[in-house]
Amino acid sequence: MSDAALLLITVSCSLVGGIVIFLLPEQQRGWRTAINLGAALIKILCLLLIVGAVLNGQVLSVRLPFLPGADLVLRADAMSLLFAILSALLWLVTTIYAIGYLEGAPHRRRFFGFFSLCVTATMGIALAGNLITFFLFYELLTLTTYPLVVHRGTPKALAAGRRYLAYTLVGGVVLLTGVLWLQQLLGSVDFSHGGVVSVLADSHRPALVAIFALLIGGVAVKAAVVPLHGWLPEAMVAPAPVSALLHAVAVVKAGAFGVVRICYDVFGIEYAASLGVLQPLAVMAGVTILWGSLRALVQSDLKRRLAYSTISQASYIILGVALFGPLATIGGLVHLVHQGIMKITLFFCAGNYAETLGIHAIDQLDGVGQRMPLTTVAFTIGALGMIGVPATAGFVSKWYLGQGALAADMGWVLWLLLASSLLNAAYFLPLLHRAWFRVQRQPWPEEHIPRRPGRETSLLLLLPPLVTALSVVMAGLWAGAPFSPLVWAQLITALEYRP
Amino acid sequence: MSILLLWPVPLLMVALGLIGGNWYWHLPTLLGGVHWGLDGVAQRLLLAIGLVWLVSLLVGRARYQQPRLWPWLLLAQLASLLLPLALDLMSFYLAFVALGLSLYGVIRLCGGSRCSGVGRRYLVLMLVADGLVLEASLPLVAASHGQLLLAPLSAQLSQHPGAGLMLALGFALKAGALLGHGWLTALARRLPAPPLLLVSGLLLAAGLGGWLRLPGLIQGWAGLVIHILALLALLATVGGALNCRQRRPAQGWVVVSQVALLMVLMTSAPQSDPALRLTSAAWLITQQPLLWLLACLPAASGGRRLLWWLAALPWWALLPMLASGEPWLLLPTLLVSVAAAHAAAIGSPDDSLDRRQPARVLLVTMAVAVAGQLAIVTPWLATQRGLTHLLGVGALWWLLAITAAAMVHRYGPRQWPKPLPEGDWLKVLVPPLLVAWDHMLKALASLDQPPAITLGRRHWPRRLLAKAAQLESGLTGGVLASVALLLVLIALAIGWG
Repeated sequence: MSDAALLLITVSCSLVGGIVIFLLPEQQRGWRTAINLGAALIKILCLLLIVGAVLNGQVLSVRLPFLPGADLVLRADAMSLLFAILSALLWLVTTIYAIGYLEGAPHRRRFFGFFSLCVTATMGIALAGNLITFFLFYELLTLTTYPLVVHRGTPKALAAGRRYLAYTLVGGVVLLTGVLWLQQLLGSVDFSHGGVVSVLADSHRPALVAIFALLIGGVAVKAAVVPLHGWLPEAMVAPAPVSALLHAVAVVKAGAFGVVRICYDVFGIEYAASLGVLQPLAVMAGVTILWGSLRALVQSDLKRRLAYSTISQASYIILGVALFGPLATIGGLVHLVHQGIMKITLFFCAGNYAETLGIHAIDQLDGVGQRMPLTTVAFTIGALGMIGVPATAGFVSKWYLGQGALAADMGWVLWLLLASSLLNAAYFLPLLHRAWFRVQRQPWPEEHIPRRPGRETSLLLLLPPLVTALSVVMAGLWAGAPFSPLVWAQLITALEYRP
Repeated sequence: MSILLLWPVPLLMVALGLIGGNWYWHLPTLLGGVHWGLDGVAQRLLLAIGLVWLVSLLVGRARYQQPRLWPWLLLAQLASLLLPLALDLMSFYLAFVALGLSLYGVIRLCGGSRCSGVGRRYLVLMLVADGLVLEASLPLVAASHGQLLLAPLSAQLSQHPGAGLMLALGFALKAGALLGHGWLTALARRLPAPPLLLVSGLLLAAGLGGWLRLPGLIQGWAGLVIHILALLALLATVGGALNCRQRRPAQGWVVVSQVALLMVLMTSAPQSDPALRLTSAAWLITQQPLLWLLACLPAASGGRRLLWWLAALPWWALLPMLASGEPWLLLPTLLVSVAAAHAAAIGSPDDSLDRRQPARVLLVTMAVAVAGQLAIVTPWLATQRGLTHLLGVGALWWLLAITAAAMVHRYGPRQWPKPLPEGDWLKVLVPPLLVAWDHMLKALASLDQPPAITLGRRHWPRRLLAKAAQLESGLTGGVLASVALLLVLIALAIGWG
């Protein structure tokens, strides 16, 4: 199979699957499930083939004419594969979860159709080979996730959707301005290790600083960087699989990945450092980390607390980039994966609590560990990972970020990490305490799935969080194993910091 | 026999080298590369930790039957197995954190709603300790180019005193030293003895494990700062213990004061034999079961009270005191002894916390603890020139300690449990003491062989100790000292009887 075919199939298999799902009648549950799972498996298979090629030193790419001077480029390198594999694997898991979650719910055809389109957009962002392609898929992601956010159709959901659109479309316009300005200076802006803007004369430096601000400002909306984060807590009105998708697979991750791409493969990290733009970026990330954690502390709704936690945690990725140095880069890149698996675990568990017992508020969690022990074990692992307890994925990220901060001579980041970890503990441990050590004082709000021996909830709801929780522990315990996220991040970093 | 009692067996087997002998493991993919080994530190700590587990499970097996508790106990056991074996920072830190978190489950499930508030306080302190250790570790690792083995990191501490202080503070918080002691003294009022001795013993092992694995902590000016802080802490905690009218909180303060005393002794002789530091630290850990079991024993009088005292006194302090050769160290040790004697004797057990245990269970348990202490001390003694010098110096010192304790008992504050009998027991006690002194000094004066251990600068008490060490060359002194001690014990027993 040619490079072009492999890349196109990888991106388009979910697109085709989505279109077919739209065409299927609502009651064709079996076919819909088969198409969903089939497309997810094909995508993973294609990515495995691409991984083999990239490990052999190849960079796969395909160029399709789009506009004069602006081609559509798909390109598979180590960095794009990191995000692509994460998205593909978590999409499979989320699909399985969504099948169980939406059992018997209306509008499943619409949901799964847009769900597939959303993953197509995410895969396009991951494999984009230039800024124009990145921008197109980035905006496609906005449009395909909006129907998912408003899926319930309630006034609250519609309001959240409007807010989501307002933020992300304005962010898109800002991003487009930056892309066009840079395009005007450079011509086509293909991603390349070490960046592409350093060929410009020194007289362009002020313009480049402005372009950097525009590009980062554009992607920072989806990455939920303070003060551009307002859409994210509101979007929690969406069903749990959508929340998982927004936080762990697609939207927030796309924003954070955009920051990584812009810093490394458009500006080049060394050139960005010479422009003096990394320090403000680090400060912005630091403020977001603290602000998100502080706001999470005062939330009484479980999903909103998790949303603010995402705001805080996603900025670790940006911080890793902004710290300039291989160790911090490893920390940031590996957190892209680790935050994804930890946060998706937490959202799956929150969804299980809501779907099984009708639990939405934190004070309803009392004694839930007795009623749903496996889900609560998964939730516990996810939460401990977020805090950064050793032997979980979160510890690995924070360790490398801390090392990177020291290497970059930015000691304040160590205290920031400590404060953030303590704040994470302050808003996660009370949840675990309620779940494990408090006794249930009132009946569960709405017990949809009655308790049966050996079965706390539907198997389709239970398996995904257990699998992702296991991967949180595996990523922390066997961080140095071949093909682990850490080893992959080290590989990317070696390319970016090649002498 | 409850299957729970088999739990500490792997710990003890590893400690005794029955599993794998002297092994060393390097697993490059686990936690980014871990190193585990069974060296002297690991063996001694494992033995102490195994004994703490055994004693706790022996007296509390009925309490530990609830299945909800088992995952927490299992996690704590895994962490307490890993902690001594870890030779690298990653696995040590994993065990350090996991131990604190898992014991929270034990506290909450065994203590119930009584331990709700103190549990939160405990958790906050543990997290702060974990954070401090992590925060201090990062610069050390960065300075040693990513090196994760603890031994080279310890060597880096002299160049990073700030990191050393943070590490010391983190370990001290975990061990329940002053300022981080709040959880311990509060738990002492609320938690039944079996989980309490488990929590106290294991966390002490975690904190002391850090100190033992990173001996660079007690060097340089950071060591001096720790020394001064520990002295202040010791004074405060002894005061805290003496001010208590109830037995359990007083025992809590005694534990905290013993941690401070160990810090004082260790930092006063940073170059002393590491094996000696290790032995005394492990001995201190095994002292925890005895101290907390004393809290369950009924109020005693007469000769039995003397036994209580003997069990409570900080015998472990003998070794580092000998090594330091600093005469003034008698004073802090004496103060802690007084506090320990006070705590062992006052008040009565809290029946709402501890069900009355059959006497045989308590006896067997305490015998296990004492046997464990002997097992820990014996290897160190085997490396020295004999037992008698320890006995000689020990007898001399403990005569003083017991005298001081008795005087405090007689003339101390009003909260002492009950007035002594009118028989003016000092008349009974003092003459044998003087006789013992006299015999001892004569025996020492007749000896002119070189000292068995090096004690540094010449000083009167130091020379005395050096002479005492020579008692091993002839039985006379040892026998004299032993007889003197026996006489005093008999006199004391008569005095209180």
